[in-house]
Amino acid sequence: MTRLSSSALWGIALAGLAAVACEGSPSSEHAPGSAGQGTGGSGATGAPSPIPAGFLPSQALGAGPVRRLTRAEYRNIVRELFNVEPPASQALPDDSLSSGFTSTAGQLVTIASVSRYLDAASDVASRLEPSLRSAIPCNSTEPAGESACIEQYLTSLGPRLFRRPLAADEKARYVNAFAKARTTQSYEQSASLMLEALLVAPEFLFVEVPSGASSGAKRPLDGWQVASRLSLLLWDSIPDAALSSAAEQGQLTSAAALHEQLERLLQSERARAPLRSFFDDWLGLTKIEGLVRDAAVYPSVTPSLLGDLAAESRAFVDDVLWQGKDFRRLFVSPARFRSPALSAFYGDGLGQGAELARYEAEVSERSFGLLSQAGFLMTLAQAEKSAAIHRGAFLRRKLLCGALPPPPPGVATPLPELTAGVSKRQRISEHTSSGACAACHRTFNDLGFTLDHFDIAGQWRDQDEGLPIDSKVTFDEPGLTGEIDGARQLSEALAQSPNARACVLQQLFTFTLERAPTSADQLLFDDLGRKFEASGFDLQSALTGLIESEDFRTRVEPEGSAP
Amino acid sequence: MTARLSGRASRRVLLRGSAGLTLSLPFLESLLPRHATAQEATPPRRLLIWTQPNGTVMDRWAPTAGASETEFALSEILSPLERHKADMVVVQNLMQYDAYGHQYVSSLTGYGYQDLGYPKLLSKGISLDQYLAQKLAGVTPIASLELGVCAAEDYSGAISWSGPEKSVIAEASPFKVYARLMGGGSSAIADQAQAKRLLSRRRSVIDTVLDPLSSLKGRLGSVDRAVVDNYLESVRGVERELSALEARAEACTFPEVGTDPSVVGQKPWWEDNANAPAALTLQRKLAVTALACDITRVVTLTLSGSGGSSRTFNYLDGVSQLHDWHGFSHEVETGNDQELAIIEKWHAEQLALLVDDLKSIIQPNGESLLSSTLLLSNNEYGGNGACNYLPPDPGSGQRNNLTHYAKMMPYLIFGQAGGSIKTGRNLVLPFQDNSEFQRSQGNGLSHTRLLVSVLNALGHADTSFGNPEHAEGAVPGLVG
Repeated sequence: MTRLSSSALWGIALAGLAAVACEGSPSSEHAPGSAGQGTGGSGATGAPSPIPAGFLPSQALGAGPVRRLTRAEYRNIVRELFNVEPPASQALPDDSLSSGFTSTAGQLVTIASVSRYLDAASDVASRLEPSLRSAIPCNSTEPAGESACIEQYLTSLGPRLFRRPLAADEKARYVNAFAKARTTQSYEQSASLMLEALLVAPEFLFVEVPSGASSGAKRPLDGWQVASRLSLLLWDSIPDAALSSAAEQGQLTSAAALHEQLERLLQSERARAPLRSFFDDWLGLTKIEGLVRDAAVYPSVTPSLLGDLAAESRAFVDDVLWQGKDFRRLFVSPARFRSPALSAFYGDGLGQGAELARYEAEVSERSFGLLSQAGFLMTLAQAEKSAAIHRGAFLRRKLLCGALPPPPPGVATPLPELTAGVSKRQRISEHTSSGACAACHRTFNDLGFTLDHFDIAGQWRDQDEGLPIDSKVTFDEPGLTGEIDGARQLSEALAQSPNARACVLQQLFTFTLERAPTSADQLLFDDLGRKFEASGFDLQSALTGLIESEDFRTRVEPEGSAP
Repeated sequence: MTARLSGRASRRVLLRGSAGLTLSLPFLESLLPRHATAQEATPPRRLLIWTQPNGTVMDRWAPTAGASETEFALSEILSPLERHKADMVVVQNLMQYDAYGHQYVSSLTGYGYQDLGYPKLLSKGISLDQYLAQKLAGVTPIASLELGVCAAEDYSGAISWSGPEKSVIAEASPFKVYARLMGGGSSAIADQAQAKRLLSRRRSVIDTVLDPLSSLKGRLGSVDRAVVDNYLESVRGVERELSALEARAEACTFPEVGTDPSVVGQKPWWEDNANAPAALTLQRKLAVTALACDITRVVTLTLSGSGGSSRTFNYLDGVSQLHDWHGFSHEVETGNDQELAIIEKWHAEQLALLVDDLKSIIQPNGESLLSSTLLLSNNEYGGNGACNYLPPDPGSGQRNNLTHYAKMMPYLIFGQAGGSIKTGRNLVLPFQDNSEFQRSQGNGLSHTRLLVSVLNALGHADTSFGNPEHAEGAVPGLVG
């Protein structure tokens, strides 16, 4: 196969940094020169890759170790398996944001979190107890007969509980736990004790799969494992009957066989919430409802309005994913979602109905896409003084996948006091222009300045502190060149930016495969980029591409020492 | 009322709180160091940290200083603590550096926080209580106990951190705390017999999980095996804790907490704002029981989640429903400090009841539990009163909303920590720069000094804690 260097084809247009990072910062190895060169292949089609050269970081982060169920998964599974109200989310051990997405990966378990699992299991089992005679019917009253009933139950429950059939020794362990309890307790009490133990079994709580392979070894997943990955990803739950049956018949181990099930799951209503969580985590939309603004300064920002603003941004990302089917519409779209309260807040005359509904409107300076939505804007900055800095850092990190380290300790000094006639933009520029600060701030302050027409409540303004807003910035980086004035122009540029497209693919990759891509994934990534482009930037098609990739059906044994 | 232990005939001490609850606590041999006899034993030193959100009304909180540090008059807000004046130290003018906005995260860690976007605020270091707990690991059945009242479960709500980014969430249900202290997990427990049954059931569950014949580990790669090992090791840890608690619970009498009135699928009883005063009373009793029975020597009691606290206090006379606790703290900026003052005074009353409880336990050496305890009253913010009111941000047309002040922290200490703290004092600490300008700005000595002093008072020789940039040593004149 002839390998064309993608950097050779794209290098001229993309001269300079691919994923902009701070010079001299610990993350500067993300910059090209150290990555991408020579690893970027053209893939089988020979078409150039739309992924900017050197976009992917070179360091191998490696595959993650086995992870535990997330709170959402645990609750859905308990509800589905036993038809009971699951324990409250807060009663379960916390999820961390791993690589930016909700996951338990890398979270160590403590005595306190084990206690929560034990308590949750005890809570579920004790509520199930009264009905267990009918849930696990048994004609026999003899010990051997009862044990046979329990074993039969485990045979049918196993594939759903452990997401694979139980081995004989596993069944025996739980049958024995039942039998031992049964010597002093009732049938129901003993069966509920067994269920309690099953709910804290590592085979239930940990998602990934035993292998015994050596570090770094690649190994195809079996049908059960693929089914489990697929349903946990798209439904936050266990495989349903059809998917289990496909797994049992040994299908799902090829892209073609997987395709049918994937489409079925993806098009089900049950995929809506788990895929919404992609946007929630990536863009931080879950923060909107919990925002606090000083009621005396921003009287219109009430909890009820924040609820509507969250609904607006969620409906909007749903629209991008399911209706518009074009990633570029995240930045520039005619779609508007308005309730009466939102209509009053934005003052744009849309939203005459009683409920939140979809409208279409001209793209304008004040209203054009995600970056003009007040709820989302509010999550980016808490204080006017430093709003541009926080907004810029978010855009650089999350929408362009630039690597920014946190500020070094001790430099988070307050911005200089106000001097008459000096704008916030000037103060921020002055304050962050010195050596240590400039290395990073020069990569994101400007992005933030373009949003200055929106105050920290997301409302339009022409002046700030009595001075006219200056949202004009000149950029000189791949996909973002020339003069850009304001958030709408920035959004139009982002919609066309190869870096923003590569970035959403990187985010989707991390969400789907539960690891961040590196330059070792260049071939897959290039291929994905081409499919994405060919589909008109349909995120569903990118997601499908990732799920149908060999990587989705492969487990790489994690390397190195354990956390 | 105080009951004194009189020789071997009476092996029980009484705890009589002002709420009328009577607890009887047995004399604990196991509480004593092995070499000591009951009469000469030195009781262990304990740490109890009470934390409130939302600051206070500083000019109605600060005691009036007299000619010396032992002469001072308590302010209106602190007046309920008058009866404990001889057992307290007021520590004024410390400042939290590296802190802004929501300060639970930095409060006991002495570090600024990693901001993943509110409310995901992560600590950069370990908190004081967890640092002590790790030093004491294995000495008591539970290394530390974290109690909350209506505590919001988010990162910004965590006061305790077992290390960078590792929050320890306070338990807001007194019923779960009770069950845990009795070794029964979090299930509702009516009595000790039921606790025993639950304990035996939990043991069976754990034994099944820890089955040594399990083939799971043999099928895992080395990294995965380490992760699963960590889980199984933690399960073993729970088992050890259960055994230690079981032994301790045998010899300890617990306050009656009753059964949990919560209904599945509805908001739990203890999260209902109206039940907060009753929940606080129970948590207070459980905190004192855990210390008295030596189930742990480190307890935190957090009065709600941080700044975002939406607790309301319309059950107090003179407090309207217009704002929540947080809202009233912002009201101070507009000149209305009356309602926050009422709320803060009510908390001083509750704190006084806690000190009563600690005083009423008499230890085998004849001294009260308070005398071997250091009770720190901690607050998320400095005062919100007129003395640190920030002027409006001119030109913006907006008031500067930096009400969440990190200066002039209103700290109180109760108890003698085994004789290392001389009480009955009002420490008015100098500012970093004592010019008129600096006083108005209030740049105080670093609050990490207090964290160091607490460690020193409890017998640890640390000279710094938290951010090394603010390693200034201890609070001058507090310990020793």
